[in-house]
Amino acid sequence: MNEHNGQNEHNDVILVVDDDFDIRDTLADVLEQEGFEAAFAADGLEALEYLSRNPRPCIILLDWMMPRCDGAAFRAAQSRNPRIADIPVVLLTADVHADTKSVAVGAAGFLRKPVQLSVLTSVLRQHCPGAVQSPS
Amino acid sequence: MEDRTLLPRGMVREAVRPLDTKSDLLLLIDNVVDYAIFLLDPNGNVKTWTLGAQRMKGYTAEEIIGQHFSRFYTPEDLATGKPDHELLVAGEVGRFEDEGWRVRRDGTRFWASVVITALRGPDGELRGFGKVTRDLSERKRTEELERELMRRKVAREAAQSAEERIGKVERRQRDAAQFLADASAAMAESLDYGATLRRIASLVVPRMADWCAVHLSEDGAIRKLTVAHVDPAKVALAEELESKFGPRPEDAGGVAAVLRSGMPQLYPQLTDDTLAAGARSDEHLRALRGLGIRSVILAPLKAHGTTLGVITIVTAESGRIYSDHDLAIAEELGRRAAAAIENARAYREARAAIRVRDEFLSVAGHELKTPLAALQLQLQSLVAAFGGNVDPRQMSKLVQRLGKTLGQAERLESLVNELLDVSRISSGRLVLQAEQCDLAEIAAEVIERHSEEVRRAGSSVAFEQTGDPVGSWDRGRLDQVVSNLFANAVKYGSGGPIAVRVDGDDAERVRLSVRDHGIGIAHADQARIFGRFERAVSERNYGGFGLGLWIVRELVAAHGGRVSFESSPGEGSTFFVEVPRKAL
Repeated sequence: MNEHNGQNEHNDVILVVDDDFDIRDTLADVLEQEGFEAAFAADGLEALEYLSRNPRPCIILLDWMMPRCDGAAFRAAQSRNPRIADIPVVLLTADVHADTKSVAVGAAGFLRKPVQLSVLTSVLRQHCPGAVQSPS
Repeated sequence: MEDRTLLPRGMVREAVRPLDTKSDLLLLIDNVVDYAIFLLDPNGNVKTWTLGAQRMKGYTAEEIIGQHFSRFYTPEDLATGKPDHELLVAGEVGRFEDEGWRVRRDGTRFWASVVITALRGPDGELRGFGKVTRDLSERKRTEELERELMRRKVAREAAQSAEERIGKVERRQRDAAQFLADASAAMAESLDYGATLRRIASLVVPRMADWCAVHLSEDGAIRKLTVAHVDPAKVALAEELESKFGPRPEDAGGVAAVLRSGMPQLYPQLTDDTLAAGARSDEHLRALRGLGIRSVILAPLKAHGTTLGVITIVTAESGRIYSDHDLAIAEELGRRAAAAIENARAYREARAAIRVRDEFLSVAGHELKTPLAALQLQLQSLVAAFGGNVDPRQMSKLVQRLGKTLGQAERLESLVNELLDVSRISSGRLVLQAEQCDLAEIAAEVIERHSEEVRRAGSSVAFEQTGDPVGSWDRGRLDQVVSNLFANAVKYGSGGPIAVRVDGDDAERVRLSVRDHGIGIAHADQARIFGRFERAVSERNYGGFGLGLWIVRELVAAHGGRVSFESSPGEGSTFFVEVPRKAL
């Protein structure tokens, strides 16, 4: 895919950053089912690594508590890098303080685990209008 | 001019003719009102009588002359033979003097002064006795009244002084009660016992002492909590003394001794010898002398038989001398202060326990929600995808995804079981089912069951077995022990190799070790990793309740074995389990 083709700079890929394998695995199934294309990272470092090598995703679904590099550390690193700083981030976490943390790190929004599928897809469509392909 | 004052008043008027010495003398004897003057024969019988005697004793001359003089005496005196004794003495020495009760004719008594004089002729022959009796009743009454007044006065004064003393005791007790009540109130004000004891010290000074110090025993050391004196300059001096010569646990006397014995000490008047014995150096002694200490009490702060500290109260400038009463107050103060400390500590521990519990509940909620999130998303997605007719070509995909939901349900179940295990173990309801099993077999199964996680983590596993590691254990629980340790090795192993070793060479015991090369455990955290609700990785980034190692330790202990570990941060950890073969 061409990530810098002028008009459509977005790659329409959803980047999921979560240390829990089951969450990644489930989202892989679910997002595929809903017609989204998704990429996965197990922590903030993997996510930064992905972002440095791949086209910009349309949204980052970010878990908060992760080993090595957590949500806050990832956001700090992201905002320091102008190339990726403006990619919208939505927190997807079981943290009870997701709302205040979302504001604190300047995220576009937050979703609390467990999340309703309809709510999740609605948020994804809003941020990635061009991402939905034909659902499988 | 005649000196009339020498004569009774009654005679002055009649003294108009020259005195006939003999008859006038008789006249005098007869008219002396306050005296009975008469003669007794040598046997004690009344020979003469006068008007004065009649007035005093009530007998007429006819009635009494010839009667024995003993009838003037009380039955008590008669019983002791007093009249004869008096005559005997008077006869022997010429004179007998006495003061005592005499009896009138009508039986009434009067207090009399009696002088009996032996009358002897020129040849020395006893011719009889002269008796002069004076009625001292009036004087006696006056004296008695005075004595009574004096007695009453003395009694009143004694009563007053007793009242004062009682008042003083009462006042002292009231003061003591008030003081202790104030102290209790101060203790109730705050659950910060440092602040509380400082308040108490400020109550003690100046109400009870010129100085007050509180020391607490903490972790084998003696910590000064507070020193109080009305004069801030003196407080600074005491602080300096404290920093240089403060009590040490090894001291033979003073605070350290009271801490050891739990017994109070009272020095009503501190001697220089005592001071010298307690001083650590000449400089110390000079400083102590400089304080001008008079009286000292050291009272233990005692709660439930444990001496938590010592309150030292000292008088100097006030010159007050402590008594047992003061010691009792100080002891009571010590008891109440200790109770306040206990309360504060219990409160602090309870607060800490509540904080740990709240943190745990937050972690638990997070941990339960994660598989729940996966399960719910998967099911909702499955319903959406396969809600209508199921395309047979999609069947294998459906089965695969249903299998994943089953996995999430199992994950939830194991989390719930972990919580229930904590409850079971904590309440002593853990029941072990003994069966003959092979620890190597269990370990191999655990490794096999975690192969997917190992693969995902990028780790490799080396398994080694020596000897015959069989024993009588609860198979499920030992599986849980090995699973927990192995899962930790995978989780915290940073993708490095993991070595599992089962050693069955020993006849009595079987050993297992699980070694990883991961992040290791920081030294600061090593002491608490087996604690309930504790985990070394405080950021909670590694998932799980953090109950695993606590459960491991409890399960191994239930088998009569023990768990230990070696770890270096950044180099990995090795956990060792040792269980007796005949555990159950």
